[in-house]
Amino acid sequence: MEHVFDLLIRRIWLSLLVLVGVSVLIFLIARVIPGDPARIALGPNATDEQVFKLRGELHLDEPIWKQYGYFARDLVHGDLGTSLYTNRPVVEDIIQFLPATLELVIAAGILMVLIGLPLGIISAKYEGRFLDNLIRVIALLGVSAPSFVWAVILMLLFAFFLPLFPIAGRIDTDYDIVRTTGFLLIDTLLMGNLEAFTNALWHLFLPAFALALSGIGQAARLTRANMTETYRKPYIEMADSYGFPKWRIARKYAFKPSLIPSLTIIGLDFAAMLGNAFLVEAIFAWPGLSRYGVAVILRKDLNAIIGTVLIISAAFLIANLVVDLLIAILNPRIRHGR
Amino acid sequence: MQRTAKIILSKPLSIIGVILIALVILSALFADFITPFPSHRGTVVDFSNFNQPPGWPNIMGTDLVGRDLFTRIIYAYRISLILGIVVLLLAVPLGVTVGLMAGYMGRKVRFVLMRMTEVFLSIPPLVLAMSIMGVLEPTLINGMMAVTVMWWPWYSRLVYNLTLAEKEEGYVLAAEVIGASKLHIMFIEILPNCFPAILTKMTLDLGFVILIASSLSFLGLGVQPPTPDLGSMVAEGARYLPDSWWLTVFPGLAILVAVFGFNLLGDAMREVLGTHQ
Amino acid sequence: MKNLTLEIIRLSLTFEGLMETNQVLHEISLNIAPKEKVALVGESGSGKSVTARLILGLLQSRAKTKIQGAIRFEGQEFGWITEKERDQLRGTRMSMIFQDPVSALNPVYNIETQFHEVLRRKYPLITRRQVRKEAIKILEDVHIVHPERVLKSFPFQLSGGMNQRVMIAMGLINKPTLLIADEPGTALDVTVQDQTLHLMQEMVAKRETSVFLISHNLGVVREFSDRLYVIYQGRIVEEGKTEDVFADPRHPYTKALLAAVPGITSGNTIADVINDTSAFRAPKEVH
Repeated sequence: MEHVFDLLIRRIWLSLLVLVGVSVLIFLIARVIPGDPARIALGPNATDEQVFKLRGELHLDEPIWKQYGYFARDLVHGDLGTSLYTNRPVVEDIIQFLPATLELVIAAGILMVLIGLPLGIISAKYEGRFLDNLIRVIALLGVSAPSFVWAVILMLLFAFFLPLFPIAGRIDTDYDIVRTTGFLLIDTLLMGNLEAFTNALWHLFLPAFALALSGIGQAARLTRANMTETYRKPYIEMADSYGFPKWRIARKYAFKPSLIPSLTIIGLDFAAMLGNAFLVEAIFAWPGLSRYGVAVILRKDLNAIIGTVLIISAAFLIANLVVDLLIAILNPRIRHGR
Repeated sequence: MQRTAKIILSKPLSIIGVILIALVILSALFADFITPFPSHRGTVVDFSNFNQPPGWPNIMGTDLVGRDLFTRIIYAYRISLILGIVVLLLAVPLGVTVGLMAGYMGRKVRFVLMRMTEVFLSIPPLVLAMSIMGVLEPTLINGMMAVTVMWWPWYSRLVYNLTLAEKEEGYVLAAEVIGASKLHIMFIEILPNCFPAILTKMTLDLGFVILIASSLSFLGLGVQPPTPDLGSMVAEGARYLPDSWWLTVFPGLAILVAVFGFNLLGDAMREVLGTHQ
Repeated sequence: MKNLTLEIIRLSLTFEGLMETNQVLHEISLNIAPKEKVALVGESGSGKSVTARLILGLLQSRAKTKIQGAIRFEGQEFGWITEKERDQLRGTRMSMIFQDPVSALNPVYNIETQFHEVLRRKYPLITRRQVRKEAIKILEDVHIVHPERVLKSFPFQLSGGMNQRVMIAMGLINKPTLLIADEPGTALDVTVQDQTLHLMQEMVAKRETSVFLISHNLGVVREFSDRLYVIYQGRIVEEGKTEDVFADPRHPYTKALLAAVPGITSGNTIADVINDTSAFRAPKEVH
């Protein structure tokens, strides 16, 4: 187990290094903006004096590496600056909007694993048969449309045509929720209000499913590909030649080794979902980071843009760390240090 | 090559893929001749005929200012395809060069180039493109640049992995022994062996570039009106759900059809050429 | 007539591919008596390996595979028993050891778990403790010094030779009547390969197991088998006692094979004989 621990430490260092890289990259992107950021932020009616003052506050007249230095120093202190759009600290804005987005993405991630992996296993087990082809077409359709298209289609079918699910929002307005974590599913449980919990879950399902669809397709396709490849390995033939039961071979012998490469891609899909959540949130009026993110981008609110991208990248790196850890635990080669 | 094409065309699913792609490309090429109202791709206003459900002559209905939806979808295909092709023409050579160098040129180069690639891959794709579009003006050219910036690292990683495997092969060692230059070995010896995998990925990616570009414009960060674009058509129409369903459903399905076609063909290529990633 | 362990009668196998059909076996017949060690010799692609997989019943349920002829195992005709009954024989009455033990053992389970899986085939309710006892016993038989430690290891932690011993032990632990050995040890170096053969010889002699050895290596065959069949392009071209065939090869292909092995006859290479392959189509020779 100590190998897993070593690996974790090493991965955390690498992730931090990458995060520093991301901050540099985003900072550079934000600074190559054509025109004067201070002028853009203040709008066309600002006086030259106001602009001059803001330039000073933003250190815009100093060399770019010094600007990054100031930025990095504040970042370490958990200060991402003030949003010029909401006039509040960016950190506060993000704390307000991030939980709703994370709730959506985590729910979608769970759906992706719970539906995608079994579909892939079934597909591989019946390779070349009708069921396999059916699953492959469905999975391919899943990855072939952006999540906002699925959101529209699901909403039309299951909220308007068959009114099974609510049309928009996170929860019905008649519930008063005490905000502790910002995650509605957790907050409602903390309040002991099961009815509100169910209501929140009911609101969550359709957007999460729309967001998960391409991930489900991807996970199913990948699991199938890895498993059919594993099925050609000598140790599967050996298991077969010793007459181990077929379902046992599928589960114990083909799936587990195939899961390891699948997990890596699931981590990447999770990243894609963090971005795609913006698309689904827009359709379902989900009060997450999306509206904030798009608004600050359209207003060229640099501090807020940098902050949002950094937080999302950090969430992605954490997700990847978890995936790496899972792989290390599942793979005896790493677990036993080789 | 002919044999490959023959095998691909012997599977029903890939035939469907080829047909879908052909329909999309041909309709985009000949949009001027097959669309009923070619002028509707621009700023035409016809308030006597606005927001009409599918019927005749507007088989997919009309939009909020009375333009024929079918016409606009076909012209949007044209923009999407151009965007996809340009992005790949820029991103693939860049990514391939970085990947070859990282894979072949020694440890320091590898460290720098692959860490850089990782940084780009650590920002969720759409978010990276969004933040680039955030600082640039939303135009078609800038959209292409933003998508290119997020796309090349995938090729550098693919080619890097392929190069690591290929450089141990006998033919590379042979070239090294006779003193071929690094440039020669990378581009003349190794690169051609990566072509099947690169081509397969490009086919799949043409679909995905269209998908990502439509996502950007859906958020208002891509191609701007009046240029017809599938993503912004869905975004505009979404406010009028469910009554004016055709405003969103047809552009949405149009994205699905095009991307599905490229995916079907790419999948078949992957199977036949044996290029698993 | 005494009861043969394995009898194959006029067996043909055809794969129906996407573009063309491909006949892999042409009415081959062979048999193995109890305790007998029989080899099937041929170059790669000659149909050796598919024959082994047909005996195990691995190809029968595959789509686009056409099989004619009969396979009888201990008097049971494969065509007459159900698929389930056929599956029942694998791992219990017959087993197989593979070319590359390192990749044939499952990388994500330790050796003990894999022994458990194999033993479970014969004794479905076997406990972990019994598994350990049985496995240690047979690992000692294959001259493994620290069987407890090996049981806790994963295949990649053991050397190739060690994996090979584990594989032989696994193949024999359920006391099958027929052991199929597909190019045993060819993936390993020559000394290990040699040890493998000796070990197999010793083990099967003790257990009175019949062996069906598949090999392209004439040295191996000469040392190991009682009788041999030579296969060329899906046809058996010569059969007989091992020493007879080596002393007096009759079929042109067998002659070419023997001639190509340096040190056995002259210094000829396969290139000297390869240009008149038409002669290899000559009818079968029986000693």
